[in-house]
Amino acid sequence: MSTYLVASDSFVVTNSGPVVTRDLVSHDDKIMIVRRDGRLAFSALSDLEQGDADHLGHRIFTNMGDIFLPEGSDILMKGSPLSGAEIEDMAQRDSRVKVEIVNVHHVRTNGQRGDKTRAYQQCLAELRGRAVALPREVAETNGIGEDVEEILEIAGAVFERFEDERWVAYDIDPSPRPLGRHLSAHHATALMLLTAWASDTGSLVSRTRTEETMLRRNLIAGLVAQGSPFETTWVPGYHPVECRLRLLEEEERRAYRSVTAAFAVRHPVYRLVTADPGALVVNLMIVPASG
Amino acid sequence: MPARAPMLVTRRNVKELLAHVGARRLDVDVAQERGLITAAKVSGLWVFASSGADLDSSRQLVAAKCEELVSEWFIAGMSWIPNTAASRLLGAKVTGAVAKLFLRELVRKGRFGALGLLTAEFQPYLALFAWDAAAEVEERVGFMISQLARAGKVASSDLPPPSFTPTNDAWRSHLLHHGEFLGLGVRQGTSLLTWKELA
Repeated sequence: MSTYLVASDSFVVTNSGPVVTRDLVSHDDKIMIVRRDGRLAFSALSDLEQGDADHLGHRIFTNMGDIFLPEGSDILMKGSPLSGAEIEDMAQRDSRVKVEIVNVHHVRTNGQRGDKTRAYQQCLAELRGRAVALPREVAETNGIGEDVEEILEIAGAVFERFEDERWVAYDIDPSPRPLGRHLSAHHATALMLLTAWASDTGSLVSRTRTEETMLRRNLIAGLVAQGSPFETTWVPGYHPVECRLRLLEEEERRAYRSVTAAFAVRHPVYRLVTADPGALVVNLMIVPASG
Repeated sequence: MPARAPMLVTRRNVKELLAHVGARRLDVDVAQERGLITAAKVSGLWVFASSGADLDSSRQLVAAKCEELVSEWFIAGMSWIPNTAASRLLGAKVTGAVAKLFLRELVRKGRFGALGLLTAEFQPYLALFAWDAAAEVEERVGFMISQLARAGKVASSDLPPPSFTPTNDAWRSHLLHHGEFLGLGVRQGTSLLTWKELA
C-alpha cells in the first residue's frame, strides 16, 4: 500500500479516464501509478479521505500545466525527488529545473466521450459566473465566436452577447454544476473555445489566469482524455499571472519538462491510499508516496 | 585620485563601461581576463560591472530604490520603475536595462505583491505593490468589484485613496486595468464598465 497527499484541484488517471481528486470513489476506482519497475499500471484505490482544508505547499508552474504539491510530498524531478520548497529555491535562483512527466500518448484508458450537453454545462459552471471575454480579433477568426455560442446553446445557458472595438463578451447566468465526474474530449473542446485568446497559425491558444486552477485542470484533463498533446507557457516567467496553453500537432516525447516558477500557497488536500506500492500520476506528474 | 563610481551595464552599453574603467581600447573578454570588469547573469542576461563588489552594492541600491518607489506610488506599473530607479541612484551608474533585470529578480523572489494587467495587445504585465500595502490593495480591488455589481461602472476617481498619499495617481488607472485583466468588464476612458453597461 502507498499513501499520497494530493490537492483537491488535481486530477488522476483512472482506467476509465481522468477524474478530479474530489470525485474519486474508493474501492471502485483503479488509478494510474508508476510501479517500482518504472512501468505504468492501475492500482485499486483503497482509501480516500478529505485532509487539511488549508494545507501549506507550493504551486509549481511547468510546461505541462501546474500542480499544488503539499508540504510532506515530493515530486519526481530530473535527478531525484524534490520538495516544493527545494523547487521554489532553485526556480528563484533561475536554475534550470526539470520535472519528470508522463506523456499524453502513454495514458491509455477505456474512457467514453460522455454526454456533450452535461460536459458543456460542467465547463460553464466552472466559470463561476464570470463572463467569457474574447479579444475581438480572435472571436472573428475561423468562426470561433459562433463556436462559443454553439457551446452555450447546447449547454442551454442563458447568455447575452456584448461587443466593442476590442472585445466580444458573453455574460452567462451562473448555473449549478451538474453531476458527472469523468473529464472528456467534450470538456477540452468547450474550454479551448471558452478561454480562446489567440489563434496562432491556425491553432487556438487558451488563456487562463494563474488562479483559475479548476478551469485549467478540467481543460488539461480533457485533453489527456482525448489524447491531444499540448504545452503550457507562463507569463511573465518571473511572476506568472497567466497560462497560455497551445495544442501540439505531435507530442514531443520527452521525459522532462521545464519548471518556470514555484510559489508557496495553501490549498485543500486529500489523502489517497493505493493497494499497490509505487508513485502516483497526478496532473501527468509523478508524486512518490509520502511518509 | 577620487574613487571611481560603480558602473553596471548590459552588453549594449559595454563600451561605456570599458571607458569608465580606463580600458577603452580593450576587448570585453580581455578586460574581464585582466580583472578590470566582471560579468554575471541576472534574470537570464549578462550584466557587466566595474567589479564584483560594485555589482553587489549596486544590486542592493537598486533594490532599495525600487522598494522606495513602489511604496511611494502605492500600485506601481512595473515598466515605469527601472528607469526612474536608475536615474535616482546616488553614487552608482546603473542603466535602466540593468535596473530592469534586478527588478525582475526581486519580483521572482517575491519581494513585491503583483497585480496582472493587460496591454492593448492583450499581453499581461504587472503592477507591483509593497507587501505592507497588500490589505489596502485588496480592499480597493474588493471595492471595484462591489461597485461594478452595484452600479455597473466604476470611475478611477471613485476608488477610495489609501491611508497615505501616493506621489502620483497612476495607481487608480492600474486598478482599472487589473479589473479588465480579471474579465470584470471593459475600460472606457477613466472608467471600467460591466459588459451589460456597454450595451
